[in-house]
Amino acid sequence: MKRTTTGLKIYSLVLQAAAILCGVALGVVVYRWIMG
Amino acid sequence: MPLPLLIRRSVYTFAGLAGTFAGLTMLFLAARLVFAMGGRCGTGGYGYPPCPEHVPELALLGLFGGGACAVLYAAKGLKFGARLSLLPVPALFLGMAWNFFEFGFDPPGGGLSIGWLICGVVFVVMGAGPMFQLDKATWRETLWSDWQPPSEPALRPLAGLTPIERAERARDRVSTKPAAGAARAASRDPAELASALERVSRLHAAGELTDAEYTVAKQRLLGPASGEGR
Repeated sequence: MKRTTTGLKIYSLVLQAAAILCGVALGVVVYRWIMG
Repeated sequence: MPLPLLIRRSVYTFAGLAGTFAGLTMLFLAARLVFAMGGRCGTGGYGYPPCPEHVPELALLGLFGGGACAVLYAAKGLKFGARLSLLPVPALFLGMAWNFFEFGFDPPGGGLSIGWLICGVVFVVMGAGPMFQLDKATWRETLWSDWQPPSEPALRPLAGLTPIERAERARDRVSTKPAAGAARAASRDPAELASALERVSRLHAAGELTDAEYTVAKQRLLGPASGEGR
């Protein structure tokens, strides 16, 4: 149970770090797409 | 936590946070375009140069799209581990401060723009200032959640219980179920007694009370006298 909980916490950190990086990349892509 | 729920909340977390930071990035880049042309643009005959094409759409999409994604993240995201709901606010202000400093030291017209540098300081204070007001415990509560999903449901449906489990559950619930309160009230007023009996019968008919619970509740409502009369 403890290992599972720790795993979930690490998972949440990795997921959110990846989301931030992907979001910034997405923002740049959308910017370039809109600006032509 | 059930796997489908974990997957659903993970998707909301990823989409919400990625959308939020995509919006912030769009705002940041749109602002740079405006800075590069002197810091102001517009239409309507006020003497402002026209904005670069698509900048208003970019800024609106970044602001409202990013805001909607931030709400999605805060409301539907994972409830444990890192909670970054407040992060977009300092990120927005500090991003703008970066632009003020960069273009303040090297404005489009050359020289040094003291006004923009002052704005940069103000934005740093707005973005980072609140962080220095928080103590360690508040930081932890703000950015991290120790919430854990319950390991098993608090109540199991009656249909899935063995007769022994039903009896144990009935025994455990007798003292806490609403019929006990109803019994006390009914002992004072015959009209309330009838109402409480009807309520208990309705709960029994609806399957909310087991046969054992129904019998005990009825006995409590009617009191010791009911048993003696039969």
